[in-house]
Amino acid sequence: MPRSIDDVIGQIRTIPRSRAGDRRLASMLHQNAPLFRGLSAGDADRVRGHVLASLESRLLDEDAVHAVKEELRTSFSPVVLAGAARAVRDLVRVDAEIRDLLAAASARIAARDEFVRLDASECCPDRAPRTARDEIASALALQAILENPPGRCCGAASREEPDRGRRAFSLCRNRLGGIVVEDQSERQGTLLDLVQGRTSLVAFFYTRCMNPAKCSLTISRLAGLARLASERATTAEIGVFAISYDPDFDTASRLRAFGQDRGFPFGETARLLRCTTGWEKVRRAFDLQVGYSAATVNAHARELFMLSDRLQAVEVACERLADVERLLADVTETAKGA
Amino acid sequence: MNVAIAFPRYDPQGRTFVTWRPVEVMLKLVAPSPGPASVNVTVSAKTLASGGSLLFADHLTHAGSPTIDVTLPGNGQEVAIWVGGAFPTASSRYGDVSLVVRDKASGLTLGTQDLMVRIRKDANTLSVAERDRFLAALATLNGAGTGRYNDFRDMHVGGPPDTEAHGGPGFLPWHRSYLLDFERELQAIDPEVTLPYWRFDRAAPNVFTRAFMGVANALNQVQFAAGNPLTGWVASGLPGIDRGRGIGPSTVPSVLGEKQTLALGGTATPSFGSFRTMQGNPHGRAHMSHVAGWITNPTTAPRDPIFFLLHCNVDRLWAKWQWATKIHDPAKPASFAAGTFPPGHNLPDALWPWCGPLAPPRPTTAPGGGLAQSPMTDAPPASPKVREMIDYLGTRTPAHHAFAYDDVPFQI
Amino acid sequence: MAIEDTVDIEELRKQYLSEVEVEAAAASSPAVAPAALESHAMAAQHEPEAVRDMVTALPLDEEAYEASVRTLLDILGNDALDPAPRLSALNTLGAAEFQPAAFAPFHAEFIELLRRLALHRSKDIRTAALERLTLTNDPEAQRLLREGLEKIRRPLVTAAKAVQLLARDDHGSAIPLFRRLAANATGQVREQALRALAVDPKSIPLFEEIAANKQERTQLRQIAAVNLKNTSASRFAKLARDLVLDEQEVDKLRAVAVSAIAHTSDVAARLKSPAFTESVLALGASTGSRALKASVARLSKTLGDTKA
Repeated sequence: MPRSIDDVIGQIRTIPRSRAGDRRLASMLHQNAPLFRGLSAGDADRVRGHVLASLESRLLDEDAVHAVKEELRTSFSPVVLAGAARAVRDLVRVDAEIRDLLAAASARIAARDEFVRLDASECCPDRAPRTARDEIASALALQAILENPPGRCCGAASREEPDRGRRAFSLCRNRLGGIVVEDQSERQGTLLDLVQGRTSLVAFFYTRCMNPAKCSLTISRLAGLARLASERATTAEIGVFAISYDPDFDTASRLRAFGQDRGFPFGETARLLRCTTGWEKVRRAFDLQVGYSAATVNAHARELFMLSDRLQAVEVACERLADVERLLADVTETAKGA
Repeated sequence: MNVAIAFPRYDPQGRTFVTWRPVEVMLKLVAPSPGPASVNVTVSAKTLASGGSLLFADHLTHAGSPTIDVTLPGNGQEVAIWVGGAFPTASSRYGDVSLVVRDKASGLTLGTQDLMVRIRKDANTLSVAERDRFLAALATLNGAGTGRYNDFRDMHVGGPPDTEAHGGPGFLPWHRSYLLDFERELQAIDPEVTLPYWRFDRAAPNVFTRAFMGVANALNQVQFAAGNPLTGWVASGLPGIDRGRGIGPSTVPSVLGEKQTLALGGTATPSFGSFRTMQGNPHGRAHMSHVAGWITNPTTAPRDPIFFLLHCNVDRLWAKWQWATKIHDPAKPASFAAGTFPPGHNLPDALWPWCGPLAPPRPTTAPGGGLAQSPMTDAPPASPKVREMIDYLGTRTPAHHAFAYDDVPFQI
Repeated sequence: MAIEDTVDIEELRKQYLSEVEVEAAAASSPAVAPAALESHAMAAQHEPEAVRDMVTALPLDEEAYEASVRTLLDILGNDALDPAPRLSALNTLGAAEFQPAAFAPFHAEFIELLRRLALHRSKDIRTAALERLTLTNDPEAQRLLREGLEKIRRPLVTAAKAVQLLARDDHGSAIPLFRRLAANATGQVREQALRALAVDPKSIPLFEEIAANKQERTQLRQIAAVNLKNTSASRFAKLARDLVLDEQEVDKLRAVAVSAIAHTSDVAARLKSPAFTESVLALGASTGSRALKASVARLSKTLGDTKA
């Protein structure tokens, strides 16, 4: 029996305004949080929208701000964007990037706007129903009506560095050795064999992702980087790999077609992969931000990692794929340093 | 002694395809030395049953003739003639028409070149062989859900891509490019295939059959005859086609007719700005004539292959309006809407997603990549601009798109 | 073709243009004004058929667009009207949606109205609303349908229809329900549930079992076979080979198998062998089914083109 979404949302609304409550809410921003398990993508969006809305007027840490910005950057869901707009209302006047992202998000959903009900019905009887774009407009309007000049607020006054605060960790050689991956040509091997001894970029994606601003774009851009790496023929060999979040569905032929359509230059060091053994180990090793319904992925972040030849991993902001020249230069530098 | 015939373009298999738009063909006498000072030849077409016809001229014109006499110098100097399909007689397969060069005096054949007058046709009048080739290519492009068809679906989704496709006067140029990209992908699979159109202002008893585009059942699931390649259709991960039962074999949809549509552009001073109101009726209403299913929503419509036949007819109506009003020249104000519009909807704008790179203010969403290229022409470029989608027949410049419609002639 | 047979293109154009002018003159009669339609529809003595016809004739050009859409929304939401004109309004609103930029200011209201109509007393209206909402994976519509199937609420549409509409979302949450129905339900509901599992890797054994079971209906076996092709090329290749080579098998199913091999390079590559090609050719020569013959011809070409 599926949980009632209304019950889940009701619980979110009752999370107290305290430091512990704030932390609990922020942890719910993770796509792999238990409350998303088994939900459809639409329901996961709805829950996420309410989690985001509940962050309104709370202290957001850097990770939370990053998560909200990423939603504003990529989401096509009116309820998620409405929630995100509430979450950053206090930051609008001090963070120009947020204002830009809000405006872009509003334009993105212009033709698919919906009424969203982010308030409990008993809380605000005088509040007229609002659409997602109304919520965004309301957040942006604060900027115009507040007279106070930009100042210190909530710890996120400046634009963040792309990779600031990103995850960095070591991968366990033994664990990677037990993970078997298959590429687009049905060649199998361990993940360890693939990444050890070279610097690699590893992205995560799945072929039936519905959000064209996520997986499809990531692979298109990654393909551009792989082509550039191949043209430059740098002295250091760089691996460019992408691993599916949906390994049962993403068979070799699906990976091949997805890559071909996006100009991915398949080769020894440029592959799309699925995990045939040890997918749970991969999820844990990279702490992947992905949630699942009974059928497939219901929510995921955009995730890209740089792996050194000694299996040191650092998360890279996916937005950096927009400038493949610079990213490749950085990866090449790392490879040379190794 | 023989005559070498050189068409401007050949595909990798050495075949050449023409439309109504004539192309420049070079003839050259290849004779043993010493040869005659010159030879008079007659150029004509040899047409098989149901084959295409050709017209010839010594300059670019819509008024060619079925034969042309040419004097070829004995020194091997090339002589140019113009060769195009003779409206309205199109080919049904490659080689059903040949260009033949004969010695005028003896009647001996000095050279031949097989070709095809490759033209987009009314889906309702396709031969069984034409229909089956089209379906086979379509199914291959779909690849049971893993083929490039997915890209075409992603280009037409809601959000910013939708604004590029439907959010202004670029609606018609954008879809012309989209259809051309799609048709060229089909032709990469089978070069003899063209995209047929569904005349949605008429009954189409041969289209809405189990052997062609299928027949919807009570649950709006399209049923196909055993062996129809579309039986294995998959779009967005879902097998089959979800379409309402609004159109049966004898249904005449409630949309503006062809001439009513052309009349939208005005008759005294026709303009594209007025004509483009056809986006609502007949275009939108044709989508809704199916009542339910993928085809009735802009985001899901390309999942149903009838979408491409429907839009091919929308493009044909624009092409016919262009011909009827003689408005092909993008330099003329009436050829496009006046004013300033969102990106992608102004004459100098590059069209998304072919323009790349994927950067703001245009949609950053994939897919990217250029427009599929044709062995028969360099136009439009891989990253077409709105203005480059207007004169598709190359009436003003040599840049023709290598497609034409069976009821829209080439005219200068 | 003789010289006199060539078409005079300019003459053709002039004649065509004169016909267009006739149409333009005919169309100069005023289109239905949104206000006139609204007042007619709101009149106590309105004629449903006249309202429906007026709805169909409502202009959607730039000038009239806003007023037309406003009127259409009012008619769609008017419970005093018969279903026919309201369904007609819904259809015309669908046409208006194909101008998304112009429709954008009305979209939220339209969705809200459809959600209300999904619970309407008229089966036609609620079915149409649910049809429209599920095209864009509306979670509210999905919830209503799921609750109907789970008997939490009175079903809004038939169970088979509910399954079909829920199956539109391949990111939905009804897969466990579909698995149960595909295994245990009967008739149309089972068929729709099986269709809904089209790309479910966990149902591969079920697909194999149904596709190979001659006691099952051919239609069900066909769906199971196509599903297997979508989920496992290697296991479908085995099934397809068995179907093609089994002389006792029904032609329709063999044709589906042959056609599926022909259009799926992965499967064709797995089956390519001189012996299989020979068997396929023999099948094409011996069968009386035209569909099977055509499929065999296509497969022969594919097997010839596929690299071993």
